[in-house]
Amino acid sequence: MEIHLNPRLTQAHQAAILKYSRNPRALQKDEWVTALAAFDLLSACRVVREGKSQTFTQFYEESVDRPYATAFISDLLAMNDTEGEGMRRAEEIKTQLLADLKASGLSEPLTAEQRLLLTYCIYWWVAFAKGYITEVAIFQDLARSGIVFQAHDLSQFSERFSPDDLTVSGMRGDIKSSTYFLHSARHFPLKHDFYIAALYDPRLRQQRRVVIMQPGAWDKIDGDPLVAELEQAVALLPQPVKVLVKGQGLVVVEYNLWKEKILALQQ
Amino acid sequence: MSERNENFGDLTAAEFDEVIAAFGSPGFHDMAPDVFFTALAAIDEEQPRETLEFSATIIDGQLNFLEPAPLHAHGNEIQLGDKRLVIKLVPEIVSAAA
Repeated sequence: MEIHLNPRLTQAHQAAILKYSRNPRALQKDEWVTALAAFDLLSACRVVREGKSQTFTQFYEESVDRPYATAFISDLLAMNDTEGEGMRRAEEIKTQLLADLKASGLSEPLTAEQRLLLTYCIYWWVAFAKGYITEVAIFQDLARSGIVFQAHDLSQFSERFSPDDLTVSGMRGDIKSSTYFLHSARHFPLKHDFYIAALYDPRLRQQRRVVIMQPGAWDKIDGDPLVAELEQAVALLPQPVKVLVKGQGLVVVEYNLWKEKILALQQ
Repeated sequence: MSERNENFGDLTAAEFDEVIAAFGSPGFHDMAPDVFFTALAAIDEEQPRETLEFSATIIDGQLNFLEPAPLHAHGNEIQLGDKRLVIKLVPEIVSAAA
């Protein structure tokens, strides 16, 4: 197996990937963009095996997504404790995946390039798994809470790529892990009416969810939020705050508050 | 004293295993709120680092990129990594108020 790194992926990018992978909290603000950009540049690196050349993205699709993703989602949909059992299943698949990749030639002693390929595959596998665990858990929670919503059908492969994850009272929504949200926010205009993002509270050792909305979606369910700089937002939560991202106003509220407002609207 | 940036080739096998294991920790991918908003603030402040200029003509009502181009470009399409950008010309929309 030969690996050809994207010439635009510098040593500084690779160091940022390593620092981020070890501990996201260790990144300084100005290092974040380098780290996120570095993962994009990794996508265009190439793997050559048995005469076939693939980008890291294509390698991931063939070696990780195709054999494991659909079966994992089916397993999730059949679980009672999606978050607990789901993460255990994701870890089991990660172990199997590492064994598969080792058998395909990615075994120690690994070169720096091979480690980057393994890092890319495991980073995106865990991001995928955590994203879908959260998505299924939120669908279950909304149903338990009595909120009326329409969700895409995760049992159908093609529905994974539907433009919206769910619709609530005519508002189009997307559910994302924090990292998926950051990768999206960097590249694309945020077009959904709302995004449910999973954060993690290290003090309480539990997931903490927020809903990030277009101002129009917030207007539909409530009034004026506090206006804050992005880095002040965390101190103001759980009060609703309005921040600007690339000139676009976004309202951030706690998930439970959002659910209360939606329930009131629907009743 | 300057700190050298450590890279993947510098790690022992055990240290690399720790990196791979860290992705599954609870605070990775689901970030702590302060880390998430710091990252979002960095994205907000990000400025384009590179300008890519393309030249094009219009042939039979369709945009046609010219060589040389800074990325793979053919006809009205540009290939950017694993993405294909297709630029379409549409008739001018005349405002009703005009």
